[in-house]
Amino acid sequence: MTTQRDGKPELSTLLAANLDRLKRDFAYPVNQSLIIRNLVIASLKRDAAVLYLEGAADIGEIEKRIIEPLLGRTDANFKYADPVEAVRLELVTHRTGKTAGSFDEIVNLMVDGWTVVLIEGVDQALLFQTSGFESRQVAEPIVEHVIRGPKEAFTESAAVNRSLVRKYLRDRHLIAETLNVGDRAASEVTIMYVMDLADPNIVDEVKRRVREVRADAVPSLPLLEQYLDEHPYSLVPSSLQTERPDRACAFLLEGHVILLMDNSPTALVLPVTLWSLIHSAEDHYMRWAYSNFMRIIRLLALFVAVMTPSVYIAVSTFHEEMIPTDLLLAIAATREKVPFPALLEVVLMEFAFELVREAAIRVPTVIGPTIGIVGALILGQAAVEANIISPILVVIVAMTGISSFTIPEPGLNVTVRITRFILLFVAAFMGFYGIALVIACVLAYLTTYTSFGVPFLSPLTPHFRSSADMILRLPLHRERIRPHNLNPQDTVRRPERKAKR
Amino acid sequence: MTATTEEKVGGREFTSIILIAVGMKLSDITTTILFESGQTAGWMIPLLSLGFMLIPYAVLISVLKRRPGKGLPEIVFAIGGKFGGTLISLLLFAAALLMTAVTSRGYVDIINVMVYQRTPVYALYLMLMGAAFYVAHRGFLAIARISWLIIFLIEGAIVLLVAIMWQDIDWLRLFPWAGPGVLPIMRTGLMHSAMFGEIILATALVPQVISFKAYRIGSALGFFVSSVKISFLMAVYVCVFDYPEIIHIAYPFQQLTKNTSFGRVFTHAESFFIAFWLLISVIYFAFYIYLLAYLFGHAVRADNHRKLQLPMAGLVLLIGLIPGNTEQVRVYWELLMSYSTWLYWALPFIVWVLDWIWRKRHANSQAKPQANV
Repeated sequence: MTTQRDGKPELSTLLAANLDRLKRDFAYPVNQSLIIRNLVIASLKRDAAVLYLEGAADIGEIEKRIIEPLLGRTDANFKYADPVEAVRLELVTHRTGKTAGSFDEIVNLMVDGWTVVLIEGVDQALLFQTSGFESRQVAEPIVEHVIRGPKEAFTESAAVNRSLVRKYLRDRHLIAETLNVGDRAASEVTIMYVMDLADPNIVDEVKRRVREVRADAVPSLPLLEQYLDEHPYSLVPSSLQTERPDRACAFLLEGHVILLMDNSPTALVLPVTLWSLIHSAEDHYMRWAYSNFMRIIRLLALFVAVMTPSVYIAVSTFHEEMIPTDLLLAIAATREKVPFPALLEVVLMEFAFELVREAAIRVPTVIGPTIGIVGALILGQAAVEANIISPILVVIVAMTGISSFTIPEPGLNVTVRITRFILLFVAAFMGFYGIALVIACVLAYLTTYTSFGVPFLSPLTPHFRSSADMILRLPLHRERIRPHNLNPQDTVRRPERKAKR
Repeated sequence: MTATTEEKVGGREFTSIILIAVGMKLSDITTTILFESGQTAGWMIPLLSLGFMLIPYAVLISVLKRRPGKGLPEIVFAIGGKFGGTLISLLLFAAALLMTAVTSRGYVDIINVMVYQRTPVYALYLMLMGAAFYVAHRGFLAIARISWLIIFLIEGAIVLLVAIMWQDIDWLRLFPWAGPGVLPIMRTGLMHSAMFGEIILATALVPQVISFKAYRIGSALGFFVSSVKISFLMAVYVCVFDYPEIIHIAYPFQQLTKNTSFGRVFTHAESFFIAFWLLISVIYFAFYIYLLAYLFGHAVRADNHRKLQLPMAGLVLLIGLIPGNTEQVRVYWELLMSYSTWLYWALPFIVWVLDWIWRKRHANSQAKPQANV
């Protein structure tokens, strides 16, 4: 028999009634996940029951820290007369322990892996945090792997991820706030930021958006990312996911906010700028010259990936005079045998390349190498020999494809590929005129696009003070200030170095 | 100044806009027309024109300084009343509209003649205005930020162009240095001072800039550097093509790019420069469409001037299609230049006088109650 208060079902003093109610809540015995261990606490001379959900709780911990102490002690010299307090403070050796009076709270915590101890004659339950979900070991990053630098990646457990972040950033101002999202199956979202760095406006805005998410269940970060997105139809990503705790910490130190969730082996970084999307984790682990060399290569690759096919079309259709005469003749000679217009050739080949790429992701790993053979041999060599496409085009499409692989962020990668197709058609329509007009529009879009209030191309344009860590970077000792576009509370990263002597 | 609340344009961005909006004149029909009257001394005209234009500008600035945070339309409405404000705003708007229409037609002609001979003018025009409208529609911030993004690339490209052409430059072709004579040059400079009419028009945008100081420095720097740039490039045109050949070349800038090459392999680099120039043209006309909508919006006191941008782009397109050919465009341009020179000269003085009267009346009405007490 349960009582009610404020509309919420309360525990009764009868153990059997409480057990009945919980069994009903978990549809026991149809649902075999609910484990009930009845026992007698000898020292108190009372009946009791230990309940937990199989798969959610750590059984070893329950046995060792809860059941063993409850059954092991026989003397009854307790400081506290209240049985709940006696059990919580004097009997059980578990590191946590709290009381709860309502079934709602008990059920919600049990789903998260907590263990409940019900005692006869007490209208309160004791709860212990014994979560023991299965999780992967901390492994090496798969997407953002580096040659030099730490090789740990986030896992699917938010607790492990939080611990990884804390390991890299041991700052007492590092805040980890939790919010719940999802109306039906609530999941916990951890918002992490450095309190005396991050702009409170940005933090509040992130929290507001997380609170405003209205959905039945948001099981993981990629879904949350889309719920938080302010421009859901835009081609440009407005947040970024990293699987590297060191990179997440670098962002935290610039004043960004990161979100962590269970079941997501990544951290969601907010807000982002174009620069954070095109930088790689390794950029700051290499010496100044080396990392800038890599950055220049990647920047060129970005341009190649966006522009090459359209420039080829524009030049070969509208501005032939740009190609050196010998090359022009060579191209003309090979194109003579190809019956299609240049645009069709490019579209065909680009489509084939996108096919290979998509197939390579979907195909089971065992037959993966086949894709390479089919792609290279049939689409490249054979298509040329069959006079479907000209050899120069294979070079161009291959260059474009390889270049697009250098873009580290998967979201931006797709943006680049879609933009490439848009430019391709525009170039076929109006040559350089079309390309110039579209690029002007793209720039207008990018410059006014914002991610959580921060302009996408800042601090370059609009100009903000920063350590110029954008296209290139300065040597580490000269990166003295934080980028001001995030409006950090503490703007100086490291004080001016005092002159020696 | 925080990123999240930032809605105004910073000093650098504003300077870049001016550098683009004024500097673009070095590549359009302005230079050709100036060579006709200026001959070998044509390159002096931009410097002289700016010098002359600084006089009305100084008068206008003295009024603007007294009313911080207010743009030209707000001020003329405040001191000229409803009627005066509307009249002056509409006059400015009309001058800017016609100038934009004629100039943009000039650009479309260049694109048509130099690269896309087979594409109809109206199609090229429509595309240019479409793109410019979109950029303008993204707001003044978009124009400002793009300008700042590409300003160094633009100036770099100009330096590159001159560097490539350096061996073809014969500085002696600048002689006789006074061209048609000192007095005619002065007169041409004065009569073409509307070429820097933007210096008056841009004062409408004062409230959009972060501070009056940033506005003043930005416009001063932008106009000065632009006029030096135009005049230097004009000197280069004369030195490369020589006088009198230069007056038969319709588009010296584009002709100059046609002569460029990157080494012996890439013998034609013109498309590189033209593509770049096209990109900047879009920003240039986006700025004008924004300005037109802004001026007109203030003149009729519309709530949302951004909604006027599409009609403005259409209006520019329609007016721009009126001239039958490039020759007519030039005639209209000359005509417009002389009329708008009068306007840009007279306006600041009128505003100053109105402001003076307003202040006197204001002082009297303030003094009177005090006297009664």
